[in-house]
Amino acid sequence: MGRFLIRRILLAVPVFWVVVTITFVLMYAVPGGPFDQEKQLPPAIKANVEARYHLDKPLWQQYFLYLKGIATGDLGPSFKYLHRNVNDILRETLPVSAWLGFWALLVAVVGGMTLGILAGAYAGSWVDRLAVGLATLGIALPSFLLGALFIYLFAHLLRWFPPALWEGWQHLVLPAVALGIGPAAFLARLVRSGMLEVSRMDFVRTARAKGASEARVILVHVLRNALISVVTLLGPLAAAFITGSFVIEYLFSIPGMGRYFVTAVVNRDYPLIMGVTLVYTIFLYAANTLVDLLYTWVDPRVKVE
Amino acid sequence: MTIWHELTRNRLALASLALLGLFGLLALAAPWMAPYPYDATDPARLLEGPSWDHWLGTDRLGRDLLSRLLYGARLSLAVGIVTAVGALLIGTTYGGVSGYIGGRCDQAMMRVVDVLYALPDLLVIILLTVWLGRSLGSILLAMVLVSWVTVARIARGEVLAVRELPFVEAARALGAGHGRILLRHILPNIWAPLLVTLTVRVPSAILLESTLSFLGLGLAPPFASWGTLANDGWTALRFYPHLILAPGAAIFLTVISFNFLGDALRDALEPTRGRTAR
Repeated sequence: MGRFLIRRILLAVPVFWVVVTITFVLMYAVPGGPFDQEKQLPPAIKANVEARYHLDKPLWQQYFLYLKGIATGDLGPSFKYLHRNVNDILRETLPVSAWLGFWALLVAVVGGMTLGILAGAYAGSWVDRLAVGLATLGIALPSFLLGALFIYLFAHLLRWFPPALWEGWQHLVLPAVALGIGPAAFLARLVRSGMLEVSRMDFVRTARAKGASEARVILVHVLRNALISVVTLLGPLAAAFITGSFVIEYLFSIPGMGRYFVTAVVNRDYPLIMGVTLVYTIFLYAANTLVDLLYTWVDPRVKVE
Repeated sequence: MTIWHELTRNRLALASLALLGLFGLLALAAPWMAPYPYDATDPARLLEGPSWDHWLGTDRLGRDLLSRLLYGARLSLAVGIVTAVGALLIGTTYGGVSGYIGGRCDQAMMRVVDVLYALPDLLVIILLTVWLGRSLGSILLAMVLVSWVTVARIARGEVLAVRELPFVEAARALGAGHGRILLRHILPNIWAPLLVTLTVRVPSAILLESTLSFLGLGLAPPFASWGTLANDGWTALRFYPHLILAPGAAIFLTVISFNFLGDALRDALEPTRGRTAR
């Protein structure tokens, strides 16, 4: 396992290099610079501005300057927010998104697992049908519609929670639930079908025959094996949280990374786009490594090398 | 015929099929069905609720929501179908060839798929459209580029399962070339799961495009998909929730119908894989 981790960390270098290079090339292949505005800047000022952001240098020099910056942990200046650089912006927005993501993950895991286990344990009953129905709804509802419905119902009509902004815990409830419901529905379906598949296997019958209690059969024998199929999909699930956060942070005006990313795209703020993309890549890479480790823990037949 | 028979026994699937057929017809007939042009503004009637003149009310520029919804259906459905078909063609070719060749080549080809699979679709599409622009063509291209990997994985798995079967060996022994074996012997035996994949890819493409448009990063203004309409509605949510509810419901109904249809197709085409497990 130690060797596995070391290899993963070493492999991270080329992976990030590829991502950085691709993003860099993409951004600079775009027609239209970040300072092309309807109001033309006087040429002297424009030259000054471009010099400040190294835009006057040849592309390969800009590329190496950028690589050097990343190696020293400096993601460069933001083109749009003049007095803040990308590091500052990430330092402010990353904790916000991470906090929101943490609670949404909790909603997804607790909600999805509970629903899935109940449905799997009482297959065919009304609990099962209710759970499957909820999961079907959760998968088909677009996250922006769900978020908007939440805001309209719980903020505008019932006034239980504030509709936007990011201050206390009451600002966290609606977005965390809205972000977590889609993955919860996905997880519930997965746990359920995993449990149904496993519960037909011989070792489950053996456990029952040995006189294990129903709770023990389900929680220890069935669930543990059903989790194998769930763990493999945690990677895409982590990606789903990123996608969801774009929408949810936009809807609830949460000053997180997702919202800044969308604004940065509109503003053509290349360094910010690249910085956020890099953070997402690191996050996904770490999540996938974690998934591989979890996999060996849930399924002892698998060994990581 | 038996598939059709199986499908018609499933009432949910039949209802879904009927609804999707209706949506498709309405989309095709939008220029004749829509009571108003989709971009006709009426400054005297801004943000109205449903009435006889405007069945679904009007938006903040006084445009008829029903007409815009009908025209939006063309765009949303077309994007969904074109993306799914494109992803199916590329994914099946790539995955099929990868699985058929096997060995190191297969391993290398699948690593590429693994990397793409782990990236968030929306992030990649946004980055690609920054580069390619926000025309219909570039958005379709970006959507196909992120969607084919899932299909490739499924197609590869199916080919791996089929390629060692005796009839393939028999074809090879009779001197059939690789192309012939893939097209005439393997493809006819894996089309069922591919058809199911197609019905699953359409709604996810529709969801993806509507999310992109909702964020204001989809097609540029004169075009309006359901996602664009939802974004228009979002700005007036507090007092006119029907403006987001109508396009949202259209997306939801389309997506859930495709999902039901996909489940039913899977049950009809792959009875051995266990109906209850889904």
